[in-house]
Amino acid sequence: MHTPIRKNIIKSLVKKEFKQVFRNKQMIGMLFAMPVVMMLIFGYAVNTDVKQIKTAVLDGDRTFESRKFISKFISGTYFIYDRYLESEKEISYLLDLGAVDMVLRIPKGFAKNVKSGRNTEVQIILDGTESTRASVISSYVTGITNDFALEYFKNKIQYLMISRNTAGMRMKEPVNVQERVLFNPDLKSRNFYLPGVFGILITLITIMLTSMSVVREKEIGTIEQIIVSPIFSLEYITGKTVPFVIISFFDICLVSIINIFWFNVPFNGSFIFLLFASLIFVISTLAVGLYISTISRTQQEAMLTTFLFFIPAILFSGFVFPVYAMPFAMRVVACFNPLWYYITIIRGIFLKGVGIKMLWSQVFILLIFGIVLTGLSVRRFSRRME
Amino acid sequence: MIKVNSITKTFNEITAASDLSFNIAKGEIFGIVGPDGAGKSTLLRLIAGIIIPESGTIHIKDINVAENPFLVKENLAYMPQRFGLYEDLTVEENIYFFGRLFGVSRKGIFKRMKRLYDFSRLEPFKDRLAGKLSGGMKQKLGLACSLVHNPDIILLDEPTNGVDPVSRREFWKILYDLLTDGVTIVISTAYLDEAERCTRLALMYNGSFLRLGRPSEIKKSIAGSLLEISVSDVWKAERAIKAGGNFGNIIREGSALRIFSGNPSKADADIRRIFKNENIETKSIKRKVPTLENCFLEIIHRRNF
Repeated sequence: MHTPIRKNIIKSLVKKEFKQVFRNKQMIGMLFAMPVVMMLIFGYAVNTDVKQIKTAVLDGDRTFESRKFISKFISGTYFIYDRYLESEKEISYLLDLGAVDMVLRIPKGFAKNVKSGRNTEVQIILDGTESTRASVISSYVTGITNDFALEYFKNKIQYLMISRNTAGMRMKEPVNVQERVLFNPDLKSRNFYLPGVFGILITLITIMLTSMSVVREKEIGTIEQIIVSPIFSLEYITGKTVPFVIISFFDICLVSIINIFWFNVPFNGSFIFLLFASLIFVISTLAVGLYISTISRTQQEAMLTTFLFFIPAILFSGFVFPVYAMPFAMRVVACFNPLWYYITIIRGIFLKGVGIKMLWSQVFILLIFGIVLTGLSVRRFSRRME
Repeated sequence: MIKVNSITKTFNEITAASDLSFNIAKGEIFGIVGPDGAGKSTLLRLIAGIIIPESGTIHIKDINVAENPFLVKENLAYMPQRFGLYEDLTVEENIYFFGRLFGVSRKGIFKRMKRLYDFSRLEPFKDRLAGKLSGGMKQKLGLACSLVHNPDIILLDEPTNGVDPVSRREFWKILYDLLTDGVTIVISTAYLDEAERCTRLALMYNGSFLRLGRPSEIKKSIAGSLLEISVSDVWKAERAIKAGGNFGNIIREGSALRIFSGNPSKADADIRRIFKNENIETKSIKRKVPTLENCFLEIIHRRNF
């Protein structure tokens, strides 16, 4: 069927929608306050950086060497000295209580063994409830211990050289790892999460608002008037979605500003490209919202259905759990998740500063999603309307 | 104006419209009367083109509704039982929006609005949110919204349901005013006093028309007269009449009983005899002109028994 789109009609529909949005306090809260609050919560509360590791020490040796070893730990910024333990019995109690994250145990004879060059063991006991945190702590400990050993040997060799009158010769480490992390040099978890929150917010706002605003017309019965009026379903759909595209773009700007200027998340890419990719992405979410509106009768139903889509979309988006770490079957599921591509794009733009050259495949896939989903929803919606 | 040709529509084996055929002429107020669930709303929705009949055709001004819904829509107003107003928009914004929806120009809407305010008397409330209006005013606003585009045919689905008597009378005055503009009105109602104001009526029951015609014709179609029997003890009298013979449907109204009878003189005598035997004091037995409501109940009763 030939369906022209009359600009005047769309304009009236959009105007009406905006009036309704701005007269509804809950709507305003959801559109403008929720993004800010979510950003602040995620920006401040979500922090997976491992710092401030509370450490208890059980020093069985009590020598100069053992104290030097301990001070290697607690002089840095990561470990915090908590207390000295007197006996092994206290260890499990403290860990059970959660009072400390780690217990460093130095056996008797530590100094003697180190001096004589024999193999020496120290023990760390970790609270493994949070597995990622524990593994990060463990790697810190390995690093510090190696450092300590290396330094000790260097000193010892230097001492030997001095005693044999070969002072002045410089010692070099055979292989030295020079770490340089690109894109997120401080390895701040915030820089990783906040762009992801960005994607999640845009998804939630567009899906939920479109579906709820259409379903509301069903609830109050205005949809019947729309049906008897000589308006084409495509005009109605356009009139319903355009306001939420505009609002989501406003939110994109708002959230970007908070990201960049409040939380100092590095923004290395092009803002225009971010807007372009977002436009392609919201085509898919608006279509999903529209589809939800055709299968829900009340706003509550629409909201619940939104979350039914939304939660798996987050889980499979790489927002928290990286997709590459998932088993094959789950990775296949993620391939059908528009949010995964979008979050990849946002992180690429924010942190790496890459553009369409690197991200064209994601943009292209999103475009295909958009076309297919819109086709499905519009067909289903039109059939309902006529 | 409207030609309906043997349409049928069923919902889950319930027949809401069964093989209905009728014509509605220009300038009529055509009433569809019947109890809840008779299929009145379905019939109006079929005419409005919201639902499509399983069989049969509807022509409006010689245009097939199912084939050319968009041609018909511009000349048609449909007001459902609960008109869907945007409660967070003002009275004027609602009228304006529905006008735009039907493609009326901005200038056209404000010109028409004056007339709409005239009859609905909503002008003092034009800046009030629709959600803050009373029930009767909401219905009037609904009517105003459905009339912005100057339709020729107005379909009203129980517009006065739940509206107070004063507002109802006002509403009907508006409808008569509209008739002078040359529109055709199709209205469904469960109030039989309203039905009497229609030019023609269809009595609808279980998806079919029991009667179709002018209100006076429908009243005449019931053979017999209405007898109103006043007695001292209605309960006893009712039992006695029921036991005493075949008098059809007995309607108890206050302290009187009403029956329809094909032979009123004989029934009069029979009843007096029964009462005498049962020691019931007969105050009076009068012949009454039946109202539409009496007829309607009798028609449905005769059909069921």
